[in-house]
Amino acid sequence: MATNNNLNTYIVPTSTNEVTMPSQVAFFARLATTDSNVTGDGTAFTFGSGNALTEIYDQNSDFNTNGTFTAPVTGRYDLVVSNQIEDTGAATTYLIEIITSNRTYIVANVGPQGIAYSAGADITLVHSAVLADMDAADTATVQITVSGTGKTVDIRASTVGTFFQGTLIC
Amino acid sequence: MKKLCLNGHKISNADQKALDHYLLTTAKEWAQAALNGMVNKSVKTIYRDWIEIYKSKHEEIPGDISQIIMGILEMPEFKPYNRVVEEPDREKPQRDDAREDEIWEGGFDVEDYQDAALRAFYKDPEESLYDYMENKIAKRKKAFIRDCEPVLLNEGKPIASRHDKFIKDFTKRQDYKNRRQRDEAEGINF
Repeated sequence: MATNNNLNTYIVPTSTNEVTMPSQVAFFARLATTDSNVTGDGTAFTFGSGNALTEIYDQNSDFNTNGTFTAPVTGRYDLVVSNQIEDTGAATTYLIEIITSNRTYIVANVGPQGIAYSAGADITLVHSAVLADMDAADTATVQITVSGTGKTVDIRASTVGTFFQGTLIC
Repeated sequence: MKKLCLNGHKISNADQKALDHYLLTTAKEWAQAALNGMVNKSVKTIYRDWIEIYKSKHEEIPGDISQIIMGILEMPEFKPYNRVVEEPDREKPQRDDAREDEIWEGGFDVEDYQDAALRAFYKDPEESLYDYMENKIAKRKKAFIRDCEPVLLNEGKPIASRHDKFIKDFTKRQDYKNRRQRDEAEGINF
């Protein structure tokens, strides 16, 4: 039997005992078009502030394609970011931060040993996550900052390599 | 264009200090971001729930979200959602000091279709934003005390029982840093 409130069916068990929660907070958005020359000189670039993100899903309508997630209730949210940069030039640092209303999480801080430079193969992928405490109506965004070169570094579009996703855990 | 929350919102000095302990933004900027999220949620939910019915009534639909939303809201079968900010999210701050600081001066601008979507989705959008703000202050005041009380316990110093006095006393310490000062000290980018 499904569990309902007066608006939605929010817990749905199947006859074979799987349980789904079709209204639970869960979003997944990817970058479909490369953001060219947006960082490299220390410029902090907010994911989604250039080309709008493409949603794979947004179950509870809490994500904006400009890259901002707004928490609908107070809770702990699993926020995951995967990001690829290319045209790295002489970049020396590659920083990824998840910025929530309450705190900033540095989820990756890559030095020159971790950045790919080879011509035609200068793509560096970093995947990180955090369990963030958020209050109702707080926001979360992803900020990418590459330093040490000119403003020539791209955030590379990808079907599975450059994305932002999140889920309400508890 | 419509204006929301023109009556403003006042908070105490201790409320502001508790917010500054956690936020990089002003209280108004936090509220603006919250309102943007409310607009986004209203528009997306109405679109998701009603677009197929709207399409079934038209040979083609406009490629403009504002026209689509207004068209959906004009359908006779459309029913408002009447959402409110629900427990456990809604919490009132413990507040002893006078509310003297106006944080929403000038209110907030929204497009006409966004205003219509907000009013179709929330029972009272302005009251909901007010509830989110008050809840935010309540949560941050409790978090401030939870985070800072152990410092005083370690030092064996007396601890004020009331939230406003605790926050005002603690932020007077020479070693006190709010979030912006802490982040700057750690070299975090803004």
